[in-house]
Amino acid sequence: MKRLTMNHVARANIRVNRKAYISLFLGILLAVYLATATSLCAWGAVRGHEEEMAERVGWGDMFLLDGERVTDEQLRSCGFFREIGHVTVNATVEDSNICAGYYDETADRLMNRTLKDGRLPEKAGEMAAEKSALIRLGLETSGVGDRLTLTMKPVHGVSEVRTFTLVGILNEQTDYLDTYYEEEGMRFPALLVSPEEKYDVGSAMVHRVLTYAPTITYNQVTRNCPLELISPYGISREDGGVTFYDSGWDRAKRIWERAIVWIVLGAATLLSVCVGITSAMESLLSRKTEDIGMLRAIGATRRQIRRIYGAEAWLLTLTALPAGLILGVLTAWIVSRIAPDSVAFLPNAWLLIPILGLSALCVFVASRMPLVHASRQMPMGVLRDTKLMRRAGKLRNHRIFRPDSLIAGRRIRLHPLRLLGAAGMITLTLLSALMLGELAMGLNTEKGGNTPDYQIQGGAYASDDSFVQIIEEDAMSRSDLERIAAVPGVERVGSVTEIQANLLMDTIPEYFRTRNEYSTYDDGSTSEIVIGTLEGAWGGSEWLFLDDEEIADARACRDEDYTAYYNMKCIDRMNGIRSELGITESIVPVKVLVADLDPETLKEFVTDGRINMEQLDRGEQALVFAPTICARKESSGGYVIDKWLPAGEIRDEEWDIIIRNDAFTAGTPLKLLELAGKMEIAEDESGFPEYRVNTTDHVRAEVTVGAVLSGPVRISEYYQSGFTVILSPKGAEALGLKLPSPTYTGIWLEGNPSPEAEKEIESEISQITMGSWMNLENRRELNREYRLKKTRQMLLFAGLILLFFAVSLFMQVSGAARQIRSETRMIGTLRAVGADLKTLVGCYRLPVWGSAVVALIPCAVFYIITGIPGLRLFSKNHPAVMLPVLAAMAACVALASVAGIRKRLAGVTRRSIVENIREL
Amino acid sequence: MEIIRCENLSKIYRSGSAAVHAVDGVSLSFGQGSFTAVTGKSGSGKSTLLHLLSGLDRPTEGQVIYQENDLFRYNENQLSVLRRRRFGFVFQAYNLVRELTAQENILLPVMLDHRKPDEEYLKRLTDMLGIDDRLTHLPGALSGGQQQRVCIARALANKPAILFADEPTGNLDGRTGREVLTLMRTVSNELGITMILVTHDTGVAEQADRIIRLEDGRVAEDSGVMA
Repeated sequence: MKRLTMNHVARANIRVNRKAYISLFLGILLAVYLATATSLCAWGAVRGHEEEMAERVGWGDMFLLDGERVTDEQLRSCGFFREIGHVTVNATVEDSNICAGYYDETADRLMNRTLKDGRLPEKAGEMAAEKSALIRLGLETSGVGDRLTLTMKPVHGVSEVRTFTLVGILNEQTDYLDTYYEEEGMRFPALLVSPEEKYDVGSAMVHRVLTYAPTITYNQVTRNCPLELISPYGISREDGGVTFYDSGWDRAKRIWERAIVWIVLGAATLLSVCVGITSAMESLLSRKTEDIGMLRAIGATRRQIRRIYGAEAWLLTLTALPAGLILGVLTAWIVSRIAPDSVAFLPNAWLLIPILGLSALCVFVASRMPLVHASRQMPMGVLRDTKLMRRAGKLRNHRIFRPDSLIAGRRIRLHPLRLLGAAGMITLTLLSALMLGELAMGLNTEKGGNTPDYQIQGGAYASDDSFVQIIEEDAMSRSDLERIAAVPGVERVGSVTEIQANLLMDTIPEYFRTRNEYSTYDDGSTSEIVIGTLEGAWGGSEWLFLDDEEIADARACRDEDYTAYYNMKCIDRMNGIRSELGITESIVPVKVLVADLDPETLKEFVTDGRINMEQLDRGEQALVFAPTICARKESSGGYVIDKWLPAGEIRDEEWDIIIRNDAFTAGTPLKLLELAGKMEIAEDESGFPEYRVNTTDHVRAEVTVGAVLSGPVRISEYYQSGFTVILSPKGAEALGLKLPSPTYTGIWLEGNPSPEAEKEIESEISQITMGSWMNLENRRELNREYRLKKTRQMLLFAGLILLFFAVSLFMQVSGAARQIRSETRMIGTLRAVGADLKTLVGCYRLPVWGSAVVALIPCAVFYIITGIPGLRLFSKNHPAVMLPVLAAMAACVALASVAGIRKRLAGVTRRSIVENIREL
Repeated sequence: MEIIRCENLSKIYRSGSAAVHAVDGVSLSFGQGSFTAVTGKSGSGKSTLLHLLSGLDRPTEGQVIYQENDLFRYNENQLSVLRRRRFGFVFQAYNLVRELTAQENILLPVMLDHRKPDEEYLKRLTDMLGIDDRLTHLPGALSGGQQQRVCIARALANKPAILFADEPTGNLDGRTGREVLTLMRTVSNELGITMILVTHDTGVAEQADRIIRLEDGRVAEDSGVMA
């Protein structure tokens, strides 16, 4: 006789009750599917970026430039490195820093060179090159198959002219591996030749490409490596460049940041699926209470019960595996098509481990509780649920009641976990929707700003003489801007002109005092950092605060100390201007911004006074942007500086240095002095050419402060940073200020012109700008790409929210359907004593709405808490949109569930009561 | 006076090609206030006949006429109203709603009918059934006999015209069974309730005014007394 195993029993059970297992099967299928899709997407998000960056910098972790002092054996024996590849540089193209060389086998793999065209060189006389190298050599027209004649200079050798056949175009890599410390001939080769390419005189230089041993980082090598490594450079695949600082923690953090959306999504969906599997399992087992009681009565142990019914879940998992994997892979592929910038499709056999692990974990965790609960039943305890009895002790006996409400309410009280389970699932759905919605909206409002179609840049700049504004003769004028605005098809023109001007002040406010601090880097080096509000003044404002004694000291050491030299230069220049113009006050260089202002968008940043456009246009008033500058020293030794915090979000204990505006309020008079100048080349004391500024004109004007602004103030796309006086174009004109070319001009076109119309508009605009030396940049193509990318991302977000919503809905409805199936006997009883369909639906309605409300509360609370200033989890909070959306989603889930329940109950009542009662 | 009758009532259960005639062309009539016992061996179709008469199941063929109307011409809602007002049913397996207390189970048909309970009547009912001290308990905390009595109280709570009982004493010991039956008779007599009872206990059947014995779904014997 064949031995009866637990698997046989399980298989027989499934075969007989196929229909009842569908919910459980679907739950498990969903778990496998989601585990596959999210694992692939998370991996695609992290690895996709790495692969993209590896195209730039290869797969190495570190390189040693010309490390001839250490041998490979020494490098291997120190235990810090796993692989060592060699890049040989054998010549430089004369009069350039472009190198030629070749790789050994390991370096070939680690450098990850890819070809844009052609092939790699195989014999002497062949060459593959980066396009940028060819451009720099003036050979941009060369293509594969062309012959190139170059003067090659071997290291320590003699230059010779050689002719190569260009056999391939390489991907761009050398520029990404650039460091500041490279000497000529130390670069990585941008021209690859065959190892057979030899030179008679001179030597080759060998760079090494290394990968770290497990758990080793750049910092550990530079700190602890016993070898004297001359020039070790870390390679960062996070940034796609050379790094001088990295830690495992930073890398983990970046990987986490890249994968977080997928991890949150995956965790939330899998959790909800777990709840679904638990309830499917519980409902399935509740239909088998009598079987279980019987099995226990004939001597089955608890473990055996768990194994019999657990085996069912595992058998279903095996059945669901292929379909779940295929669907998951398909989804990841679709996601990678929709958002190729965020997720790459990189299936990998190793991913089966987390996928299978996650699926197994889900099934194990989700089925464990119902299995344990079922196996604990006493053989004859089928009808006596002791837990229920305990809870029932506190029930109030009703004499008048609505049967549906009472039964529904009693259920919630007697089985609160069921409600919480369902609510938990909806909560997760809502939370995910919340996060996705916020992300999507953040994306929309943050970057989707109204970027112009054309941009003109390269206008005014401040001179190294902090006091004077250079005025170029070929500048673009306001009338040029008006002509551009009049071009048919142009909707509007917005410009910003940043000028260097000065404030005349009797006393210098503390607000302008510069704090000079030192930043310490990981390699022990330090650099001075200037923290202050006066960005217009180069090198800070220290000289403004020197007393006579300090000036005398500075004058004494001006030749040795650069700061003293600079301070003296500023003081002397200021005194020169003062005596020339008969000014008694101190001259404080400040930035003045002339721009078209939108009082509506600026309103929220006003900390004092109000914006009066009329007075601004008459030149009676100015706005001042007076930011609060916050700085904090990080554990790494560097400073974090924030100039854009709204006043309400600054907590003193979080910052080491806070510089607050103590000088400017609404009504403060401002004395402006604009010195207009021209650049001239003169000779300094030693006869070297020196750029000097000749002051040609000066304008003095007086205004009062209309409003003080601080926080993230943005004017015409640009965030303001240091202290700035802001004027409207009309105001600046009324004050008689001399305006140089606009620093930045944006041009917006009407509607969406055809390519031909676009060309015509562009040629008209360029005719106007041609007179000046400004660059006209067409941003329409960039904008189109950006919009496409944004649309794709939004589509992805919408798809994900929809998926979540559908999963949650499915779980709710199928959960209710399962419950009804397992309760047909009670339904039959109620029908037998006279309950109609409405009453029956009523018995299930309350828990559904209850769970929706219970789910909504933590979501709303979470959302409101995260919206508290300083605690912002989301970049943007949209309570007016998100809260009603959440409520609507919860209501939709509830309504759809109730509709599903009604349909299911109608099906049950179509059968006779006797059939209902006999169901079990 | 006749209250309910069935004409040529048949119920066939099909399973593949095999067909089982649970009830096979039965025609019977029941007088108002009568007490009829339906007996027979297991599988003779007693319970099926009771289910068909009470409208809990639909026949394959035939009619059940209650007060000159065919029961199966009513729609589901009308049948629900009829069940809660005119019929009472005692199940062999009690079928109590496990989330409701004994008292709430008893009040269920009255509450479904949105009526005010007759407190005095219900008090007397529960006193007589000896469950007045178990009213606040959930069914799970009651013994089989107590659950059976709650089920009887529920069937009688709305003072039905007909009481259908499927082996009401099947799960009770002999003495309790007799007590319960006496009680059902007393109440029925008092209120003029027609009682149709299925039993295979000859002792119980003998208390009835009329005994119908079924065999293979057909009436094998009918004492024929129509009160």
